[in-house]
Amino acid sequence: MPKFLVLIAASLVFSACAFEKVEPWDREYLAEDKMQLVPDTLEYAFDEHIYFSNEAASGGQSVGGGGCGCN
Amino acid sequence: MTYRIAYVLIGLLLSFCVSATNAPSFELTGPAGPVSLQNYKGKVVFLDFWASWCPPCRKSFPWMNTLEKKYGRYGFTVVAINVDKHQTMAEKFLSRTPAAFAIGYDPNGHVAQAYGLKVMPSSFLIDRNGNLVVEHKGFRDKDKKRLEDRIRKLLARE
Amino acid sequence: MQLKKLPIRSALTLATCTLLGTGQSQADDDSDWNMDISSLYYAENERVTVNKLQSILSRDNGEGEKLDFSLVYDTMSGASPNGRLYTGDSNTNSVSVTTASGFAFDVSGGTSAQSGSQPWLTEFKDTRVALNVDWSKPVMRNFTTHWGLSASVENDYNSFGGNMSANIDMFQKRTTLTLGAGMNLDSVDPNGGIPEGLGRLECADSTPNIPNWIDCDAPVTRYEAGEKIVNDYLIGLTQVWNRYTLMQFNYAYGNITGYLTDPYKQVSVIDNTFDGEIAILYEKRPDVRQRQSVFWKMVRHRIRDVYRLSYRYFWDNWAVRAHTVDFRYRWELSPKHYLQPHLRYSRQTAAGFFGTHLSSDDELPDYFSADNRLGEQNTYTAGLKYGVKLGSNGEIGLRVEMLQQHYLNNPLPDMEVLVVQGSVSLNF
Repeated sequence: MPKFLVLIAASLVFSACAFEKVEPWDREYLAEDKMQLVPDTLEYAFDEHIYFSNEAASGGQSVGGGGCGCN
Repeated sequence: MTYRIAYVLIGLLLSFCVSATNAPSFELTGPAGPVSLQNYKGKVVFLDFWASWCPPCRKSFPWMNTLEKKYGRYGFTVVAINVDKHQTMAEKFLSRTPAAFAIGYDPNGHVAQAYGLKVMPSSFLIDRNGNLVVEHKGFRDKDKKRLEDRIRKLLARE
Repeated sequence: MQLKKLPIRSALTLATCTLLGTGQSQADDDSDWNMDISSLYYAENERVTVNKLQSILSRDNGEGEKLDFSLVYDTMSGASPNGRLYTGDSNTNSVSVTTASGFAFDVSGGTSAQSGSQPWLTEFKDTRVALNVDWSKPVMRNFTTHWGLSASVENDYNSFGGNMSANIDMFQKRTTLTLGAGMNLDSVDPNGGIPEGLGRLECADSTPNIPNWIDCDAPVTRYEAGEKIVNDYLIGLTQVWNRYTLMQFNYAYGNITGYLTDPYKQVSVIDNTFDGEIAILYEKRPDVRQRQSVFWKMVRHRIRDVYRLSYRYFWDNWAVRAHTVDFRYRWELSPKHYLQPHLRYSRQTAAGFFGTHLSSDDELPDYFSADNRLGEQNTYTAGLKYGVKLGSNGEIGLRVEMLQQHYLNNPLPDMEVLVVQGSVSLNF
């Protein structure tokens, strides 16, 4: 099971993998709400609480940038 | 007499300090016809780069409308260049946030590139001689006054 | 307390999450205020049920400055495994056990202390209220700071904390560096106080083979409230990978000191000759925990749909090692509504001091816990969310998730959980 998931993950990553320098005027997709690292704060908070209550591992996420890069 | 010479000398020095680069010319299509920088020679131009996906742009448009209304008769004009890849997105934005100034479409970002755009939105001030005088990155409420002062100074120059 | 409290780490990330609006504001909304309300129903099969209500009120001044107020109200009730050896449900009242020394036998029933058909479960009921305030402030064009305060109160547990983080944008905002730190002070105060770790709760009536490290006669020492200090640090890098992709790389370090034991958790002491539980002890955990994790996330736009994939590797000085993979695919049915399937898989190794029970022929360990959450387990999650956009006024959503937690080398049966979450987000 884990190996299968690793394969799916790897294929998803490689399909997205090409690294490109993105100009400030090319950020139309990155600017969308649904492209935020965590688009739904409450859903994220609930999930963190559920898994923190049931597992030994927790946390690790935070926010960085992305977005429209405006201002 | 000495004060006059001093002012002239300072003026000359300042004109060297300020970048005297020619603002890159462009010719774009727009919703109200073609938009070309040549046509604005002799005017002070506030050149703004905007996009439908840029939230601060929605705030800057009403302010730019006010500027156009206030200073248009003194030889001032706002030219707003849109960098949306799809014109329909720009048109949708304009229907909600109307513009009383010239709009040009730059879907491939060539003009943005020529101006070395570093962040969205950005605005440039071009003096009556076609020189690129100011590059202003971003748009915030607190920037409005400072920009307006610079516009007035450029309009006052001959 | 079975369901653990939201630690500062989550509070830290929650705080910085609510401030996500900075630099990533909605292209569609001109409003300053936003209200999110969400209700969650969580039900484990024949065990714990939780109802959660949370709301966040946000004010965005449009210049990157944002203030969020969050209020949470939880009610929890049900029965949760207390760490005593699982002896089946009311129908099958015995289970096979192998001790460390290699004896295999059937264990049945329990001691007189907690009689009932399921001595391995403890009933509880609790209510929690939590409040968070988060403030986002741009200091310079490419530098934003976030500050947060949090407080959580329930019957026997309090948590108070603060956090701060800085986002630094570089290379025309293609790269963002995040530095965060948080601190929390927690205190647990059960009825009667904290029991002595590995102290005796109960001995069986007839006492054969009680090991000399259990004192069946002396009264159990109890202490006042147990406190702990949690310190968390995070360094992260978000990189615009291409026009459609965003990637995030984080490293987090946490240090917790103080009373880390769960005062309600117990340990069965089994004797193979007696063929049953001869004593019940309280668990005991070390008073220091250092945990670390590396986290990777990718968000990718497919012109209409968006998917996100993340992986976390976690390790701590309790010997726990955990892998977690999470995948969400947002399938845009139309610009107005979407479906989002969700898959998550996590697996963890047991803590060094974890065991399902102690044996009379064992030596007394320094630390021991039979809390299944510290044991070897796999958790599988599958969920589906349906969302409807209300134009620029907000969004409503409904999410259903199913979890299955499987315990390895542990007679405890799988836990199945149903989660239903409804949420409303309004801009005004």
